[in-house]
Amino acid sequence: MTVVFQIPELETDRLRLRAPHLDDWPVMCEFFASDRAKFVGGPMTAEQTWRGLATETGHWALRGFGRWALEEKATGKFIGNCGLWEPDGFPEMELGWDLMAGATGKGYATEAGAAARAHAYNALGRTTVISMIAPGNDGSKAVATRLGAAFEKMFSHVTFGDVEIWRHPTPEALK
Amino acid sequence: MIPTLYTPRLTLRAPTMADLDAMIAFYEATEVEVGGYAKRDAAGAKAVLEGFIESWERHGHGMWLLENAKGDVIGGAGLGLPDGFPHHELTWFLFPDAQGKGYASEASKAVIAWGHDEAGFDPVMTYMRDENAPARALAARLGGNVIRRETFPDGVTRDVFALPYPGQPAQRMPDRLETERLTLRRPKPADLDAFTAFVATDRSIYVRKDAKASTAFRGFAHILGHWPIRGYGLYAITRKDDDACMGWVGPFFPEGWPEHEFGWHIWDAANEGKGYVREAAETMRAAAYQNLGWSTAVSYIHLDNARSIALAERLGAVLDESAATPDDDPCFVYRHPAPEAKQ
Repeated sequence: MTVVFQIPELETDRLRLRAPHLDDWPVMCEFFASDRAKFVGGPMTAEQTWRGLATETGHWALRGFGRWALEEKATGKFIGNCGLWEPDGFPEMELGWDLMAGATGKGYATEAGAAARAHAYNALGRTTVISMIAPGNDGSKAVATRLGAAFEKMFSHVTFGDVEIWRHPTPEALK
Repeated sequence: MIPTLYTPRLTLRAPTMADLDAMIAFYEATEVEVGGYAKRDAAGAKAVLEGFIESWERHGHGMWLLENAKGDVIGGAGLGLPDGFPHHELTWFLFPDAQGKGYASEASKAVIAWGHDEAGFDPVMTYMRDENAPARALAARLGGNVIRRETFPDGVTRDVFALPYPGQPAQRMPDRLETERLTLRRPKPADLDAFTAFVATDRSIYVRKDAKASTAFRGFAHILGHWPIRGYGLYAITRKDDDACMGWVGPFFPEGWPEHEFGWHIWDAANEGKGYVREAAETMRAAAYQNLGWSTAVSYIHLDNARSIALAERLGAVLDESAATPDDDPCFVYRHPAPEAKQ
């Protein structure tokens, strides 16, 4: 009996979506301790960031999908996380993204988000995906808009409070 | 100490002179025509095995033998350094009947991860004669890239491949440990319901939680995720006749903690008072010391958790008031006796 963690690798033009690993942790700590993490549950201590890393990895075993670490192909650098997330307390499968310091403004979240969404539709056979975005997070809303998603309604999360639900185009609409 | 590594189908373990018969059998059966794994007589096989063992002593890296689930040796894999050669190489051999099943690739990933994480090779490399098609094919399957062409001291010019890190460290603890009454196994998704029931009870107040988003699901995912990130983690405690998870016990090390921990919880009071945790912890602790090479470890215990304190003391652990705690939350730090080899 082995718990097999099947974390598939995806590639886009500029990014590799791969399993998270420990080398990502120092960079994540910096991001999650910063003010930029205020829309995604931060700021967090180093221990909370470890929990996040391990929890995201364990989510793959529990759900069969999860969030990838994003690596810039040109440099091999870890630049963020993106993927499909549905822990307890979430209304449905969520597509989310976090970019580390210095990785914003390059279209990486949109590029990775499109690949993760395609995985949900093609590999997992899902027909709809949402993104949950904190009301003040204009950067994330811009990414959602570029991905063709639109605001649908508010949702009250037990820990994170009121968040906006943005719904992505269906697989048919993307064809 | 030569570490043991675990993959889904294989155990990579230290070679010893007791493996001589297996090595002789390999060199009788081999179909390789050139190089170190081509046919040799018994004396030649013995020299190779002695070289495997000596390599670990001289270089701190070398070859492991590959055992399948039945305990049969099906080949070897590791990081070799031929005499006079300038740098290490990933190398492997398989008995003919073990080829074509993905074993070389499976073992190599564990070797590459270990070589990177523990031996400090960045990158781990492999090189082979141009005509060695199986080795070239494996290097390609592992995502290797030719970084240069190099002429070696034996006069042969070879392509040198850099092998990418396989993404996760080599697994350093086995999937299962057995005690007299218990099977300790890796936690699995089906254990979530029992854990959720535990988290809903007062008994879980002694468990360290994340103040941000503490739910049973997230806590459980964290425990599952610790395994592939660290290569070890907490085991589910089960009775031999019942796969139900009663709690867990194991080596635990969130990044950023001051030192390694041996942790345990029993989820249902009905399973207390039977000595299960002590039995599980003794076996786990011995295996963890042996497999992970730790020279010390502690248990962080909630100030009010009298049962856990009593167990730590029965296990020979002593309160270490000078030891750091994981964060500002006060807790007792019980230090376990060092492994016998290091006392």
